Formats: sequence, C-alpha cells, structure tokens
Amino acid sequence: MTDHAIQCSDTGTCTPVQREVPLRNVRPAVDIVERDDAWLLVADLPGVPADGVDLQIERGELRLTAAQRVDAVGDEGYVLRERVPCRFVRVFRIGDGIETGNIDASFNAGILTVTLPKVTEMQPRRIEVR
Amino acid sequence: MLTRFTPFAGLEQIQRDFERAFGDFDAPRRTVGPALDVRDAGDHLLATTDVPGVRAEDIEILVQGRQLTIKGRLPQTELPEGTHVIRRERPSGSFTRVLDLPFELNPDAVEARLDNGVLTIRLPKAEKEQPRKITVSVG
Repeated sequence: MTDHAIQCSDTGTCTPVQREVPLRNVRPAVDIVERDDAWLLVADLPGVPADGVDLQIERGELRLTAAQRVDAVGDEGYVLRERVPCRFVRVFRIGDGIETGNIDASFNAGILTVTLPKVTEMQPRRIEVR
Repeated sequence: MLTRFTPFAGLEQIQRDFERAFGDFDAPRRTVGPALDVRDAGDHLLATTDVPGVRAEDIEILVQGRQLTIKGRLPQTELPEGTHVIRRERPSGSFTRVLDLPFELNPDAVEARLDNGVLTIRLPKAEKEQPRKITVSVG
C-alpha cells in the first residue's frame, strides 16, 4: 500500500483533471430559500477545497462547478467504498428578478451559500393606507 | 390566481439539457446516512465520510473492539423569520453509521479531523492485528 502522487497541496492548487481516473459529474444537493430582499442558494460541496468552487453567470444562467480534492491513493485496500470522487456540476436559469451585479457567495465547511439579491421592484413594499 | 414568482423557473429542464450536453452524469446518491469509505492502510484504517456543515462538537465516534460507530447531525439550512423554502434537497438531521470491521482497533489512538465538510478518522489497529515483518534467517 503506497500513498503517492497527492494531487492537491495544502496551500490550494488542485489539479483533479490530471488524475488517472476522471472525476464523475454529480449534481450537488441544493436548498433554495427566499428572503424579502434576496434568494439564497445553499449547496453541499463536501471535499471541495476553498478555492475549488467556480461560479459563472452567463446568458441568464448561473453555473456552479466544484471539483473535489482527491488524494490519489489508487483503488487498493478499500474495505468499504461509497464515496465517488466527483465534480459537482449544476446550472440554474436565473430570471430578471436578480441583481446579477451584486451576487455574493461564501464557502464554509463544504457548504456554499450564494446570495442573489432581488432587484428593487421585486422586494415587498409596505403601502401606506391613508 | 396568483403564482409565486421564482427566478429559478425551469430548474429541472435546464439541468436535464445541461446534463445531456455534458454527458456522463451520476444519479444523486442515496445511502442511509452520509457516504462512507473505509480503507486499510496497513497498520491503521482510514474512514472518510461526507458531512458538509457538521460541527466537530456534533460528531461522536465510538470504537469498541471491531465495531466503529459514527454519529452526527447534519444542520438544516437556516430559516430566519420572514424566509421560506423554495426547494429543499439537502439531507439534514441525525445520522448513525455502524460498521463491523475485519480488524480489532485500538480505541485509545483514534484521531479524527474535519476538513471542508469531510470527516477523516484514523483508526490504528490493535497491537495483535498489526502487520509483522518476519525476518528470514539464513541457515
């Protein structure tokens, strides 16, 4: 049993594409929550390093790609194997209701939270009754 | 009738189109509790499990003889007042994984760490299970 050729350094740079076995594409589990001023998108991305999340907005689509950090130890020695090294991929169509210039994202403990602010017209307003 | 507006209309359709274009998509995994790997690394076993969002204090690891138990709680997406759920897919709540291993473990030397939502447990085998190097004497 040898542990060799670790693909990711502790300082960050991750090169899973160079792994001999290609990463499988998997849809991450996602929660979507609506607030008065924004929608929150929460995605489970376990095993993805802090700099491994890629979010892109293009032509009304929000594309999420995140590759897991994979230590190349080969297939030897597994007593049980349920986890599959994967690349999380998911795309969302986003409508006109989102202030695309102010989208914010944070990533902590394998959970990505994307805040998609509503355009002002989408936010609830209290109408004064005279 | 009013229909709730959501900017995520067509969520499923667009994902299907995308997956067709991308090819090679795995179906979401369904296991009882978080997915778990156990690997034999000679003098120890390495157990690895996906527990996104779990805090270290919410994890309990029990080792007894050949049995490993991992307990924990996956946190639910917070829902402060005035918010509501549009989609809920993330698993949440308590889980327990119990494994009968082919080796006896040394419970005093177990180490665990959490890294990017992945729990890794290093489980040294009991002394009597350690691989031994046999010296061949030349006679």
